[in-house]
Amino acid sequence: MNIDWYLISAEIILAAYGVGLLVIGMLLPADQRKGVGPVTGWFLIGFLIYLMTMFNVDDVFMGIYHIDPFATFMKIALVIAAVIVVFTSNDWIVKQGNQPEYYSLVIFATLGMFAMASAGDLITAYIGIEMMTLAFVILAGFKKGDGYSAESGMKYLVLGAMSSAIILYGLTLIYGSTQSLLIVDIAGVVATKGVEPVMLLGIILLIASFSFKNALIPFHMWAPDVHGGAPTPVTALLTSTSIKAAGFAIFIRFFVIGFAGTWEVWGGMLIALSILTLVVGNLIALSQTNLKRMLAYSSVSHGGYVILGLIAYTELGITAILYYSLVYVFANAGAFIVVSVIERSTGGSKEISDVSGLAVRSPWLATLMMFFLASLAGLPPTAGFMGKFFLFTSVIEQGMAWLIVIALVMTIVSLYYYLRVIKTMFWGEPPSDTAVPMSNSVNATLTICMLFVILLGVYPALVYDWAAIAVKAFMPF
Amino acid sequence: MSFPILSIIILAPIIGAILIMVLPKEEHKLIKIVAALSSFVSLILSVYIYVAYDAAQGGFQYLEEILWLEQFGISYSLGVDGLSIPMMLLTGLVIFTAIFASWTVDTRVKEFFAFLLVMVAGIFGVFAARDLFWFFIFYELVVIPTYVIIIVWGSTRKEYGAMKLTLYHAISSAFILISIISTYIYASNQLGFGTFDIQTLATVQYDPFFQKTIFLLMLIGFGILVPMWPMHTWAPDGHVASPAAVSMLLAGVVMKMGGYGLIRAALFFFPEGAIFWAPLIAVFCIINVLYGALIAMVQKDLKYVIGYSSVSHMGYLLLGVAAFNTISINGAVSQMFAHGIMTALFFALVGYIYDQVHTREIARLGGLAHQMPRVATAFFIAGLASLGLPGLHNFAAEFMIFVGTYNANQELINTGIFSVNMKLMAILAILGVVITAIYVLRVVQFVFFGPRKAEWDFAKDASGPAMVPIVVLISTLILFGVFPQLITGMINSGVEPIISHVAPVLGESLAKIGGKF
Repeated sequence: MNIDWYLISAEIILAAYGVGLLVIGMLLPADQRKGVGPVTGWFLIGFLIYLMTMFNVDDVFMGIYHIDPFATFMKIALVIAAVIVVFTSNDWIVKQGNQPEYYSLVIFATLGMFAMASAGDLITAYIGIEMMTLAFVILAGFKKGDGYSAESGMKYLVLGAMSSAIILYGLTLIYGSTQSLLIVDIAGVVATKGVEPVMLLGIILLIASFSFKNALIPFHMWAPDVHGGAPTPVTALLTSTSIKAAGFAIFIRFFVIGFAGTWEVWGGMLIALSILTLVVGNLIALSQTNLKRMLAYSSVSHGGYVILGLIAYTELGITAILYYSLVYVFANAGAFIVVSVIERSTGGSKEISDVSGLAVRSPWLATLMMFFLASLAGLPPTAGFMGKFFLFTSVIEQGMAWLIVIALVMTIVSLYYYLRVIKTMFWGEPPSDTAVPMSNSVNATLTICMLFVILLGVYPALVYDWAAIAVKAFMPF
Repeated sequence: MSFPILSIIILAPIIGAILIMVLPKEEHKLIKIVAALSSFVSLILSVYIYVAYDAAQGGFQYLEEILWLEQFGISYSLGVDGLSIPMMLLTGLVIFTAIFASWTVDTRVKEFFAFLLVMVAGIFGVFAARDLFWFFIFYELVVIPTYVIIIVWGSTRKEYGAMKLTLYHAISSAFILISIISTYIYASNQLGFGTFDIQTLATVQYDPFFQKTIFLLMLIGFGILVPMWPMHTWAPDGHVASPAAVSMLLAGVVMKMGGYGLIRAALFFFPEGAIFWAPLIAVFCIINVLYGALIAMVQKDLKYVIGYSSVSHMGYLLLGVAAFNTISINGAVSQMFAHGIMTALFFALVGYIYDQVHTREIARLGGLAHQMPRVATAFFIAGLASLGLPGLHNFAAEFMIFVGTYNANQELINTGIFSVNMKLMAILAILGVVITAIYVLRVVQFVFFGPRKAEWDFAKDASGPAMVPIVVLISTLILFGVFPQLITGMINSGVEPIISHVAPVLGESLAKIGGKF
């Protein structure tokens, strides 16, 4: 059998680097590990460029692993998030004893999410999900001696295992009714036989467990605790990739390819999920006084926007999801990294009142945060606005303007709590006059994030064209 | 493409803001000069486009177009016509004078002027955009800077006022966004291609139900900004909380974005919807006029008086829109310009007085004409403009609205459910002018006249930079008051195409009214 190794070269490189890092980490003496973080960051940037060269490849590896522009687009978003997090974790990791396995785990989490984006059959999808979950369990509990961090890891492990069990059960039922593991073959069976009751149960279980992984309400219970307790850079990675780009990539592949043409069966469930997530997520975020938890709830509520694209179930809708997932990485990871900078200066406290007077202490940091929050709130000229615009347009096009009314009302609610942070930064009394300490690499990374937030808002065609190409090749109809 | 004059008008303030951000923060004077210069560039260029505009040819001129997002048919396209040029000029005048009115700002000067300039860039963009999508982007660009300026540099109940204003603005944007997207989708189904171009969108035949629905959404969206009763409550609170410069911009220009959008988009696209809702607008706007004026009469805070007087005056604008004929809409646009200049002058003066005596309580003030004769004179002129004295531009504007309304085609103002007698509306609106006279003269009397109060002897009269708003704005009021044809010809060239575009819907009766004049 002729195996085209080039197709999975990206995965091989990533895995090799992750394993190599573990070995090298053990060999290096503790005081010489300082370069591991920056080296990993630059490696990932190089890797990102390599990934971009593979954008036009549209093929299947051994029949089960899709390397198509859709998957590659999502992978690019995942790697960007990893780059941001690696470059901004260095200070914290060095302080904690400089363990290179942190970077290795980030790489393995990313690799797991790669498998989720590319999975063409049920088993691969499951392996990808598990790999990601396990890596994140360790990352979430990575902060030594911190009770919240340990709780976060434990909670993610236990509840993650439960949702994995539900996924397995759902996959079993789907396999039972279609006699096939391949998503493309499932689509064939669905097209001829329609959705049988057993299959329907499988679909419901899959929706529940994917919603669990993507933290859609009412399956979100784990998210605020896990996201709030994990070390902040890990939260940045977790919220911008696992519950967005990767989670929705697998969601889309199952529901657009596998269950093509059965929107009537499950569309209503997604609409209910979207409304619940938007309404409850934003209302809970409104009452948070802890900045990190507020952002965690805000990232939960953003799932409600993203799923709108799947509800629209058109080329435009899926393109909008792709666009949103990518630009969300910059704004969301950026906002969380700002929190991590604040947190380090206050010795662990991350209340909204901790950013009080930030505009006086560190004007640039406050400006950065303002742009990230504006993008999350969906205000032009930031990228977040364009993302919402694409999603809303796709749904209104399908004649569901009422759903967008709800989404817009909740956007205004979200504007309230984002503005509250901006108000505290610009108006509050600063606790001291000294600037918040921030290393150059963090500063540079955040600045680049902000530039992208503005650039993609002012010139969205840059990414939108790619997303449109990826979806055109991907859509079965 | 020729010289991108409109882009430069929009970019000049942004470049000014960037320059200010890199200046050292102790250089207050330099920062203010850079701000003044960059707004001066915009002002001069808006005067230039005003003078050089070819009214005989009409239509959009100074066109710029760059394809921006192909899949959606969005272009960065700018262009101005007789409707938008007066608004550009108004914005230029108000920002230029607002910078001089805030010459005394001394806390965090750098950020203040940077945010102010970004806000103005958004306002210029709204009036210059020829693409509905960019119109919306610019519309939203105003939100965050306004919010930050009010919470940092504002006064009375600023947190409350700023949050209220911002949330109202956000609700307004939500309505507008949904109506813009719906219009876009409807039009792209009809045309076979997607476009946000305002002129192309106007060529589409929308079905009556769609027109009525979307017009209502736009009416609410733009009505919040106008501000239309009962969605007006942000305006007085917002004005009072803002520093002088932002009050000037909010009342002088941001409110006009609502009126402009209503005429440019809602009226232009959905004439049938406009006719259907016209009686409702007519009723609401009379409430605006009378209720706003009555509330202004009993205010204790000087700034609240001006705030409610804006609510009252913007009622005339809506009346002009509701009457739906060439004269009344000409009047409405003139009113936007005249009121913008007048209210900016008011807020500049109130800001100056507050700066000097640190109170705006009418009962505490008194006899200020002794200490500040120049301010008193200017305030009196603004007051006379407000009550519509002939010789000042406001008179011409209000006169056109009243005539247009009185002569409005009664058959049009009839939904079939209920109708409104427009002659009665015109008379009620004129009654509003009388109430205006009462509150304006009351304020003038209690604040400036009466015996000299020794406690205000330390107050200085306006001089230097503070004279710039007074001189510039009063000369504008007088210039266009004495020669209203300088602006009515321009506005007419912009309103005529809109009315003639919707004329087939309105029937022949419309032409007759135009003929009377």
